[in-house]
Amino acid sequence: MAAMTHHGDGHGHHNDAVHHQYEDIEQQNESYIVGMWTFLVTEVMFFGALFFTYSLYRFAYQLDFWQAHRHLNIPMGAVNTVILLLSSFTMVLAVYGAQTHNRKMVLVNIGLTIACAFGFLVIKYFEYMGKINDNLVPGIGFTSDPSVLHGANLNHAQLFYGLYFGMTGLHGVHVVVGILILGALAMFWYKRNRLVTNDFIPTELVGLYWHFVDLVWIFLFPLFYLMPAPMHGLSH
Amino acid sequence: MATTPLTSGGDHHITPVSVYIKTILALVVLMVLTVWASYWEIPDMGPIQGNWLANILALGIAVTKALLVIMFFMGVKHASSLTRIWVAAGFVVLGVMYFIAADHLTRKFEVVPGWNEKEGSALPRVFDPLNAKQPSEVDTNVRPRQ
Repeated sequence: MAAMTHHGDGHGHHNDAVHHQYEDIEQQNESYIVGMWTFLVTEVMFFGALFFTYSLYRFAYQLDFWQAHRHLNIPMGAVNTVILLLSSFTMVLAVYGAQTHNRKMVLVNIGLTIACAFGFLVIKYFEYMGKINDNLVPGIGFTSDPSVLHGANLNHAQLFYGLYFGMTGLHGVHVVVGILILGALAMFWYKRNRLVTNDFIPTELVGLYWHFVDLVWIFLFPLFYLMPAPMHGLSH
Repeated sequence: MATTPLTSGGDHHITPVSVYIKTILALVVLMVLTVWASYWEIPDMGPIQGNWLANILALGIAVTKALLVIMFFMGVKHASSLTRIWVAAGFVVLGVMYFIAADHLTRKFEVVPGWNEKEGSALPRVFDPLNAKQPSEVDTNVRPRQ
């Protein structure tokens, strides 16, 4: 213990949290955060390829994508955006709690973040069910109802809904994984596990992941729900 | 090892809660703005069409929101230089991928043939994005089917 206190930063926290391969707590923290960002950068490229696919097809079929998008529910998408933004806010409060050794603040805010995540998924469920009931899942049973397609070409509408279900679905998977990670983190905090109480970095890393999930939705929302009409004279 | 100076300024930056409150307020305001702006009928401005301006506005707001989240919520503003370069690199690579797509803009025909064998299933729907022409006006923009 005496040897380890050399690594302390004089502020009393995580003095014994420095692992032996690191010079000091600064280097250790930076390594962890850069490591997490390495993962997030792969996620940026992963989602980036999908956004790129979306961009090319929307560029090629602007009118059809716009017509197909009219069947999406803007209020539901908007409420989900606000829910995710608020969950990011509660997440930073949890990280702040971890930095200031406030266990209650951490637990309350992780709980709120998980509640927001479930709220997001519940709204997404109702949205998906509406689309599924209108036969908007691409494939053999895809609708040809003009009141649902709003004039869009059948094949291009399928392309739009394929991207819609694919991209929002992949984002939804990230939300589910986020709930599991947040649940595990809450459990560690609840049991006063020294892994999280001694060092705020695990909480911070979960926070980075959760903010990334928010980040993806920030782009999905305007791209899918808020398309401007591709030419004048089209009613919204 | 004990000679390594442990500076008090080397402690991890703790962002005050007031910064987070300002950030979330800005994010919600931008969120309301982007929904409202999507209903605006933006007129053409010279050679730039209104729908392009609307797209630029919507994505500009999204990028602003993303920067607020990255800088303040994800703490990149106070992160180390290594972290900041690392974060930037990810988005630069994404930008390079989009830059490659500039070639797509030079194509004056459908890159792929129609979706099914029915004559003209995709072709009459072709919309010239750069000149915002109605589908019926762009017949010269379509590569003839073989």
